[in-house]
Amino acid sequence: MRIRERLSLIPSAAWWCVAVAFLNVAVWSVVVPPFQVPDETSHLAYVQQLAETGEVPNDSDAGVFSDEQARLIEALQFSTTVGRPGEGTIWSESEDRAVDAVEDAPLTGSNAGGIQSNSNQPPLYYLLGAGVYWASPSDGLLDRLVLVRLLSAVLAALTTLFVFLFLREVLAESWTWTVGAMAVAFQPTFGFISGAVTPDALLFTASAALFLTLARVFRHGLTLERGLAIGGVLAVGSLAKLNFLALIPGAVAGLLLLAWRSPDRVRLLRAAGIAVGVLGIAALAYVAVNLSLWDRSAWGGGLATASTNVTGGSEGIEPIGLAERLGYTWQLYLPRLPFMNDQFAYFPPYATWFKGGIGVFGWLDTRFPNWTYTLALIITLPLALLAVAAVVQRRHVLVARWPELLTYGLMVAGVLVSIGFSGVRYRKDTGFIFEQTRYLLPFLPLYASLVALAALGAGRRFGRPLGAAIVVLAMGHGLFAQLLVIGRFYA
Amino acid sequence: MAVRLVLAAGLVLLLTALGVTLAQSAPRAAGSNHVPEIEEAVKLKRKGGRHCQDGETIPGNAAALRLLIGTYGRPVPEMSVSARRPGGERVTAGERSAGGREGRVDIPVERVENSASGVRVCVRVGGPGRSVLYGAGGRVRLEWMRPGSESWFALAPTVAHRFGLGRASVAGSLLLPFAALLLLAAWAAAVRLVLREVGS
Repeated sequence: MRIRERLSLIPSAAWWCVAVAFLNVAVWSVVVPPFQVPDETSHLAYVQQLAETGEVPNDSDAGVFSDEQARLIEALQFSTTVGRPGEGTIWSESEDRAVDAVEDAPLTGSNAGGIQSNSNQPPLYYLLGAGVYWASPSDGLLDRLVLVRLLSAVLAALTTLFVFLFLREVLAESWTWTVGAMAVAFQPTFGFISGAVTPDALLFTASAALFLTLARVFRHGLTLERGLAIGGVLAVGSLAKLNFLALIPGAVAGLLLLAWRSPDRVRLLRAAGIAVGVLGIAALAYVAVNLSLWDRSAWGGGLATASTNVTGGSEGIEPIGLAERLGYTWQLYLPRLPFMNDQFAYFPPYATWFKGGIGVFGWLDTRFPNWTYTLALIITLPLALLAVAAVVQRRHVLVARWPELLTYGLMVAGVLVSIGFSGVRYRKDTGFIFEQTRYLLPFLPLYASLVALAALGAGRRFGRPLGAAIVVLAMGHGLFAQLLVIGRFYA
Repeated sequence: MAVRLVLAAGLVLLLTALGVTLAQSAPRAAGSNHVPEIEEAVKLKRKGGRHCQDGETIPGNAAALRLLIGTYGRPVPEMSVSARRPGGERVTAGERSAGGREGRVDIPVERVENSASGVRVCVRVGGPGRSVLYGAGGRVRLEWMRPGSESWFALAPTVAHRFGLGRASVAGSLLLPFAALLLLAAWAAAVRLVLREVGS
């Protein structure tokens, strides 16, 4: 089937969701001042370095920012604004003229390349960003930042499309697809992050696509073509951000499970092999480019980081015992058990994940008043109970789908454990907190499913009205989050 | 029908909440010198201690200077501020009578119409005893406040102006209304979609 024919099979509602997501994330990309999203400074530096020199930032003797970006960061008063919610961005014409002067000055954009926090990340998002950087009709860095942010918004729209299509696979009631996808399109943390220059945008897209392709093979069978599609998604995700690697064991286990339970085991194993093969080819290409073009280690340093996190230490690095890593990881998501050392002075399921999901913006310096999170909890709990009720009502269907659920469970576990192991290492090394809610956004398809299930849990009579209410709630949530950010930086 | 009602009620509720929020009035900042309040920047040990800072910018519409002061538990003494250009021309001045607890204090000044750069700002703290002004690196944080108390509605043109600064956009202060229109379009599409897909 041709691509055009395939696209014509997608319901028009899905395209509407795509349009809504793009518009909303585009608004986020305008609302947030330059560099006021976690790590956007280093992500733009990576894009610029790649675009200007064809190299990844990997030079221990070079500065981390080009002259152009460094002067721009200074003119925008970034260092005095970040982390200080009482301090707005630049407000005066004289400060604006200083920014214009930097943009007009003949400053080089190609003298950076120093190692920073994202240097070990794979380059796919940055390559896309570099393409946009070069395609920009203007050579001002702020213009280019706007366009790369819009690239992220396009990826967010694509993510929403995949979420819609995932819901179409897993839920029979077509109205719930719109409800779930709209909840994602207006989700403030998703919009805030995806409105920035960040590889997270591509990570979310690839993750949503992975959930979609797996849902399809569990329903329609694993063909060679679908194996190829899964392989493509695995390759894109792996080359987008290291976090994606944590999803792969679960996904591969799902494919093996599917093959094992099939009477046509050999054919399915061949299709699964194609998926893994495509991933392998992408990995080899990445290694080859690292070794030959970029003069860095085979995996760009990413594998070393992941390995240190998994094993708890390596040569020259202070080890962390397995019990501590497990205890830390457990307490990130669940109440502490009596025999565990207390790892946190707060309750991460609420303080980190829930509050972060409701909204923590800027470089984690912009929060709603505390009562807002309490109100959000009061609204969320009944919705969560309704989702549980819907799950219980559908338990027979779900039990029959245990291999698929197990696959998703393994993927979730992989990410949760990787966050925990990375977090305990980061805290040990720096003393700072690592965890941010955005690390859970690869699960947007599951989030949308829970939202849709909550509406279904209200029953035949109240389900649709509740679905409409959830969408309005999501719109309001997004709006007030944007107002919070506007108030933080401009009022 | 129920979906239509829920949507209508939800949107009315939402717009009401938005209206209430935007109508809330509070003192608003005109701008600051971006110095963080991370340490005791200036210690004034004598009666009538005075501290001056050069190269300051006073934003347009400034009508008060907000400072963080510590007085070791005593009531805040009388304070005054004066701002002059390098040639000696006065930009603004004002004073605050003694009283109140240590912490953030506002010193009312003559309203500054247009932004003034390269200004020397001097703060005088009267009364007996020691006091400290907070900032960083020997510089005191100077936060200039707009006159009176304003709602978000009243502040909207100012916010729109600030929104257009430090950006690539040529839209200037029209950028914020443009963003609002984009969001409105997203909302309209979402409502239409929900009516069609969820309401049928």
